Amino acid sequence: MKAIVAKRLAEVAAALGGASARATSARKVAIGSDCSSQGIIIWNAKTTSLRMINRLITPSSGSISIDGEPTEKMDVVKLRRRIGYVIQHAGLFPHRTVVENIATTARLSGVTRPKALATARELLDRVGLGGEFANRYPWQLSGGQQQRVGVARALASDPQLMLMDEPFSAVDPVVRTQLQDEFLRLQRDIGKTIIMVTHDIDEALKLGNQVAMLRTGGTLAQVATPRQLLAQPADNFVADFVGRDRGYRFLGFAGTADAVRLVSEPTVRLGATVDEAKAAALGRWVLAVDDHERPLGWVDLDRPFTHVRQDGLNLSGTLSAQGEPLRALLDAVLSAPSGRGVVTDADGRLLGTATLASVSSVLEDGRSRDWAEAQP
Amino acid sequence: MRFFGYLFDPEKWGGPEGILALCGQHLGYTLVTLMIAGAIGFPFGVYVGHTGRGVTLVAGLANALRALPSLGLLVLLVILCGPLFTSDLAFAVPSLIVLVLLAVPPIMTTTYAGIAAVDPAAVDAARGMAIGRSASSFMSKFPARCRSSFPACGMQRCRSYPRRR
Amino acid sequence: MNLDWIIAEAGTIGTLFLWHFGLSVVPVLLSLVLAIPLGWLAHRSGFMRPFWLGLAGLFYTIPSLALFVLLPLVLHTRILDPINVVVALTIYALAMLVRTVADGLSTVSPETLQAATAMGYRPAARFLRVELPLAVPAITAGLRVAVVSNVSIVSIAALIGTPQLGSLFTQGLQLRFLTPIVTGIVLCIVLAALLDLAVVWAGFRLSPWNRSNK
Repeated sequence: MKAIVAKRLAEVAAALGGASARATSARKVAIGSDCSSQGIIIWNAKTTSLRMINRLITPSSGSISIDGEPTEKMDVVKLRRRIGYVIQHAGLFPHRTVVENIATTARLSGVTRPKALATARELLDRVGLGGEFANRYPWQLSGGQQQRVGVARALASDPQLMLMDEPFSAVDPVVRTQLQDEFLRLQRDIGKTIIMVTHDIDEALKLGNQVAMLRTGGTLAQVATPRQLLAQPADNFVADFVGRDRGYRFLGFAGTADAVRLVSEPTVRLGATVDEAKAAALGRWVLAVDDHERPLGWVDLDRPFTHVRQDGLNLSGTLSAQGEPLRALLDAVLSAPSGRGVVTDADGRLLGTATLASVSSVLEDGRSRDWAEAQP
Repeated sequence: MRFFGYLFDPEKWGGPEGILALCGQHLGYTLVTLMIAGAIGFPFGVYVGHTGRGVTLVAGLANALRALPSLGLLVLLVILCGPLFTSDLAFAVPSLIVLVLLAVPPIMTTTYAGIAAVDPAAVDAARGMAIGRSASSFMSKFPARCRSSFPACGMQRCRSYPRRR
Repeated sequence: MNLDWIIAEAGTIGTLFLWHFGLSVVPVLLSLVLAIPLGWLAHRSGFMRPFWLGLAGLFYTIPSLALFVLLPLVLHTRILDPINVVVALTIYALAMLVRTVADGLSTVSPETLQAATAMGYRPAARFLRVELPLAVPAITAGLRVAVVSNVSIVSIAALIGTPQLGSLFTQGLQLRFLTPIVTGIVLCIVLAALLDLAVVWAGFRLSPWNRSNK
């Protein structure tokens, strides 16, 4: 038993990695909440590890300390009130409205009711839900909205440390991506120490700045930054787990599309005649945009038509926004029927297009440098 | 001590008015009531649970029957049935009617609730295997819910009234 | 039916109705107060849960008449004392409500409980602020059955001479006179319906979040 506990404590430390947590010995873990950091634990025994931190499960031996204070010496209720906790299905209180749910943690840490409700309304806005949700009950929300409320509730007491147990796994992939993006945005704003557990390697690579991989049985396989994990998997277990697509996944860390030279792309508006479209086009395909220069889709000049219409557009191409990783740009290139990947600015307006050749030359340039950087 | 004296007096146990005879009689009333009430309540419960029709009716009826004051009903029936029988049946029949009326609602509602609570996937699977509608009720729903219907029968309390002679 | 009799006896019938009302309501309220801690204990007792709930259910099988007669001996009260009836009916309602409360508490989802514990609710506060409010719809359902059954059982107390609508039944039997019996039955059902509505209304007010209220 001791060995297992010690291992799990090591997992906790490993998940936070260098700066904010360290295992002073195999049986002691220190978590510091002074610096913002996201640790992600993936794979086995993970939920148990997480619950040891807020003592939902008591380690039979070993010690976890937060900011130098051993948790086993703290009053368990006070400890839990200091830690935000988000679980898979949000675990909202069905009998309380959304604002009341969010205000709960603040109320528990002694904030007056009006003040807690004010904080709750602020947070509701912050997690991307409008004021119209304030007085709804949880069953009136979708899974993704409930999860946002769950995050807001954990934040309401302004905890130093947040624990998230597979927070985004119960929602559909589209909502999950939205929640992950908002999580990153939120994290940039509030800068909390967060330990998250997930079984989704892509999620771990996207959200974590330290990722701990655990083997079956709970031993630590590797702890590293996402980039290192892809470039330098410690053994076959990690290599298998980060998957066959790790070359492609690595593009997520291999710089942004900004380095790629963009070509300006001729465009047509909806309603343009076939002759106008042919005059503008560089080849078989021409890009249609709306009045604000936002790309709508590709027009195929080989198909018979008289005017460019919304329902005649080919929508297969994805868009890549400026500042996004190369992975998004490469995807845009590969998916565009014209072979030219569309790049937009932050507001979704067309900046230009990139070809596979231009992307690959950037990759070739950067490759030696990037892969070398990832070496320890 | 009078209590034990009574309990160990053999005279009190035997005979047509003894404890054993009364026990048998009590048990007899209980069994007959259960059989009749089961024969009425069970098919109704299965029908409503299976088709989902008449749920409010069953719930309302069950609660209304529960509110019927059993003593009042018994007295009413005794007076009404009295002239119809010359034997002991003048008391037995009204008692049985009242007991059945009391036993039907719980049997009906729990059967209904049990059938309705069967995992719809199991029912779909049964239909998918081309088991007919009524057959599916008995092959998939009935065995799955036997257990929830019978405690309701067990809960039936047969109140004892003084026998009037 | 004899309407003259009803009009002539209206005052007495009204008094009996009020007695019946009191004898139906007080025991249910008492047993609810007792059932909440007992139901909680049964709910928390793990593998012993079926045993405790079975034991509570067993009380329901005690014949009511026997209980009405036995209680004065146990409580040292006079046989006509309404306290006997109140105690007996409390026992019956308790037998039903302990299970109701335990079942109601087990309808609360484990995720909700885990979230409550993890955010730092102390056990007592968690019970009062989270578990109990969430058990309200289930408890309401059980309370409806208890209150309605109680109206019916109260009338049996007429056999030991406690005044309530059941007295109309014994009176009718002695006189071989149907009017009081029918009046008693109708008033019992009316009282049961009124109390049922009151419980539904209270449950509705206490659980505005319940989706079946919509």
